[in-house]
Amino acid sequence: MFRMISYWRQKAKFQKGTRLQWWTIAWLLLISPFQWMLSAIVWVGGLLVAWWTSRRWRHFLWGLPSFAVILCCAYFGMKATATTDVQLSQKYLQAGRFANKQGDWTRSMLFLERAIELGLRDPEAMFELAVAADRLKDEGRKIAVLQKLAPDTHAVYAPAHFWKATQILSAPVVTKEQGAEAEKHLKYVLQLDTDNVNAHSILGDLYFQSGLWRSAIEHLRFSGQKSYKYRLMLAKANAATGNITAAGTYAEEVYSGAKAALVSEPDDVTLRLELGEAALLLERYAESARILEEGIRLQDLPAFRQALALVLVHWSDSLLAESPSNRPAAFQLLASALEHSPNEMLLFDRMLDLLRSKDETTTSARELLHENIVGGRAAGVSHLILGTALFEDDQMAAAGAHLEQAFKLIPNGLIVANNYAWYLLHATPPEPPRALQVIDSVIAEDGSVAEFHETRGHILLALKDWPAAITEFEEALPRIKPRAETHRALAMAYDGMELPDIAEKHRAKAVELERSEQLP
Amino acid sequence: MRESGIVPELEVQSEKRMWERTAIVPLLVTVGFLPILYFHVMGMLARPHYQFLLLFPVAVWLLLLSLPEEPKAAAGWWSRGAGLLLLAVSCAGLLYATWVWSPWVAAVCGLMAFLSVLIYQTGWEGSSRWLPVWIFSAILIPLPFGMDEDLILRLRGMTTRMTSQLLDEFGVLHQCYANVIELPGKPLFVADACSGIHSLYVLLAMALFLCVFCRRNVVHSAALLVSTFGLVLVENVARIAAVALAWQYRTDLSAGWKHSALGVVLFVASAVLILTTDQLLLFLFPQDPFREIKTLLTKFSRVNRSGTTRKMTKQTPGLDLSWFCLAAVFPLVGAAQLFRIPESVPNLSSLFVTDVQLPDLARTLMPEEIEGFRLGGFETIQRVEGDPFGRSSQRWVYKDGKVTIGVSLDYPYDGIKDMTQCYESVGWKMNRLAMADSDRIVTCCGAGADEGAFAVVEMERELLGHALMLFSSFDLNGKSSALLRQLADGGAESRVENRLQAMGQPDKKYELANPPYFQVHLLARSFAPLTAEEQERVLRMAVKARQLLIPEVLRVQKSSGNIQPVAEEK
Repeated sequence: MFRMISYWRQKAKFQKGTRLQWWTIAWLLLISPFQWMLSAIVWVGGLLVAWWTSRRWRHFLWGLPSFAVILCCAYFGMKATATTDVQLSQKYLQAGRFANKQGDWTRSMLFLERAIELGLRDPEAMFELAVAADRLKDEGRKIAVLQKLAPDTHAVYAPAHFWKATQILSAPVVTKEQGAEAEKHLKYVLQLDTDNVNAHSILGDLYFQSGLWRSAIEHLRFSGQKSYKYRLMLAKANAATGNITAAGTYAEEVYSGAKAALVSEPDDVTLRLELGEAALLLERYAESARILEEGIRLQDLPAFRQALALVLVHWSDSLLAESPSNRPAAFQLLASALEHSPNEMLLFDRMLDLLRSKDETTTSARELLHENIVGGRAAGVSHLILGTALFEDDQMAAAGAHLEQAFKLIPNGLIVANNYAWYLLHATPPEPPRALQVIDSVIAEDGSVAEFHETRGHILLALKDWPAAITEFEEALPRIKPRAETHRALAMAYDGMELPDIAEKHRAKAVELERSEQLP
Repeated sequence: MRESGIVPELEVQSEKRMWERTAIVPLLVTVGFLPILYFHVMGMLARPHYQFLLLFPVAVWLLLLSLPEEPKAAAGWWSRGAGLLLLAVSCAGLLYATWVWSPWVAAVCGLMAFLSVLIYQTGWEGSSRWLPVWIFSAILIPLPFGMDEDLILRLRGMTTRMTSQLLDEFGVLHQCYANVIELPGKPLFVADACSGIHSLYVLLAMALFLCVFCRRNVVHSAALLVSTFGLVLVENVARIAAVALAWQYRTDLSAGWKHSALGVVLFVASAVLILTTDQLLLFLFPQDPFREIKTLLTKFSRVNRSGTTRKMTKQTPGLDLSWFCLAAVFPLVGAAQLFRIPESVPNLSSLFVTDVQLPDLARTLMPEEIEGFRLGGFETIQRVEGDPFGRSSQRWVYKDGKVTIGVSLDYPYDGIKDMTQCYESVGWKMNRLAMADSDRIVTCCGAGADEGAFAVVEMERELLGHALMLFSSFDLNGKSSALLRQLADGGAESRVENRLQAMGQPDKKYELANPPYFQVHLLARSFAPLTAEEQERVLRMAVKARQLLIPEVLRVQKSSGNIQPVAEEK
């Protein structure tokens, strides 16, 4: 019992003692940070006092420039840190757009590029950058940006696709592949923006040029009522599909709209031409001719003369279609057209048709052409028509004289040169080298006419330059009316190249075409 | 303390041996280092940012004038032992440097040998007297493993970024690539001269000189050196910002005497700022924080000197003999260096590179068509001195479909140029680097083609599309070669690794530059990566272009007298 009491007493003492120790430790823990802080303050204070007693203001004065530089650096450093990339990119975007409006492409490109590199992912800004690059003729950058905004594989940004399509179509000669590429991009535009009037109009135009009338109508009907060019195409496409009523409606719409607009803007060339064309479509030939003649009076432009010549040709056609007895009147119209635009291919064809028919009008036409030559009016064209007609009649000597004279008088006339080259190829003896020289000058002037390439192909064939001849024929073939003669020439060239399989196929094609030509 | 030590000091002075008083050992050691250090110094002087070293002798002379009086105490046993050990290490280092032909290692060993001679002959106290000169001599050791070149690139980048931020704050709108600040109608390349690498080293040397000349304490010196680095950045940011701001007012400070004047003004301002920073630091650290430790050390040194030094000097004949014998090895190593000297020995005239002028080579020099690419135009371009794309360029532009190729002749360069750095600096990303060596060129272009290598790099830039770049340098001996630094030795880290791996093997590539260099450089741009076939065409085109350009450049240089007959014979 005592033992137990002693044990508990000892334990109690120990516990008392332990508590005291704990209290001491706790107290020390509580106090020591303050002691350490106090020591640190005393130490720092001592340092400061030591520094204060030994510092010299003279040194500070000498060090002031450095101090000022440090302050400036700190100020700009803090200011730069406070400015975010988003704020900066917006600033550059605004500056780029402002420069864009001012037409300052260098600045525009620089600022927009910085804005984009600062993290701005705005397709509109990128598109503006591409436009600026285009204006500065920086092709590489333009293509790189367009590859992102208007890739060939999928639709991304409508304006970029539209721009790419128009860029493709603005080439002087648009190949089939380029046309297909432009069509694809225009479709992407419509995928992203179904109501895009411009895309519809251009796509319609593209289909119209390809002779796809129904597709053209589908898109051209979205064109604006004031877009007379496309409305006229719509009218023509409707006419081509046999929907004369719709064609007439659209043509009438253009006629009335353009007529009203022309009153306020009589010098607008495009408007006048469109009005003339609308009148032509409505078969108001006299009205159309009057509109264009008025245009010539106001501004004597080749465009008006060409359009007038075409109107007169169509008028002449309509007269001939009404009655063969109208041939003299038709001839008068063609003669008038000849005065306005002697280089018109259609007119040339019609005059030849008149000369081929061997009647009184033919005599009149011949006389007119002779009078022209004697009187010095359109002498070159007259020589050309006469020479070509004589060539077709196998009067080679007389034909040669006329064509040579035509070439001398109109050395830059493309049809003249082409026909003269053709004559030289078939003259006795043939002169293929000279013919090649003449046709080369024609192609150098305008390489887009397929017929000229065909002529060159024949000349090269005569010179036995098979590969070059094939190249020329194959370039012309998709764009000319299929002719047995062309395929026979190609067969000959492939024989020369020792490729009988292809030659045989061309020969078969020629036979097929000859048969179809013989059909009524 | 001072009074009590006078008598023993005088006694020690009288006991100095003949070879201690004369400069026999320093002379022997110097002879051992002479040939290889000549290469080291010439190699440094060949780089514009180290040419301030021509003033090194003047600075050392000024430091020598400022040295305190020579202490009267001689070296003790410990100091002699340490000196001997250091000399042995430097001798071993010199042997290694001679074997692998590393002038940089030799320079480090030279500095070590200088310290060992000081410690051995003048003791701890005497060497501390010479310490300022020794510390200042460290400027002869550039950063190893091409770190100084890396520093150039980093400093350029920093300068460009900081300038761009400053211009944004000033409202000067611009475009900023890695090393280019482009203002509307005025690209400013942050070239070596503008990036401050030239002024960095000279201003650091100046700050170091100030510290050792004025005997500033360690903290003060470290702070001044760090501040100098900052001041150099400020100077160069100010330079480019000034050019940009002046351009806003249609004043061009980027070229000509105005640019030089601006550089001089800013350099002088930086030098003044170093002096004022020194004063500011004197205000902030008026006392040496380590003065207590120093005092303790001084006390220990004096006790040691008065108590034991005299005794120890008498008891070191073995050390002295070893010292002399070791010193005698150095001239032998120096003689051995003469047998390992590389073929091309630099001379002083090579420091003064003839200014290369090339008349317009004309559009007709290059054919109208190469490899199906049609010639579209020819232009000559003039840039500022030090521009990484060359001060001058003559460029022929070819085109085929969507691939446009610029064939460019850029000049002059001080060495074989790695064009990837130039393109990286204007924002291009390198996708693939390769070297078209002689085998590939022969395979591609057939035998008989010039077999000098071409560097081939595929690149991409977000708003510019893809490009294939080929380049190759040639000197006035017509020797062509190409360098892709990243492929050859990568960054500083891989250079260290390569060097350690090649430890002990002689440097077969050791070659000093033979300026001026010309660069044939093709850039084929397209919106998509070039196909393998297109790449082959471009390589054939590059080889053909080089075959046409090298003889023409050499002919023109010969007629202008830039090619010496001897060089031609070689």
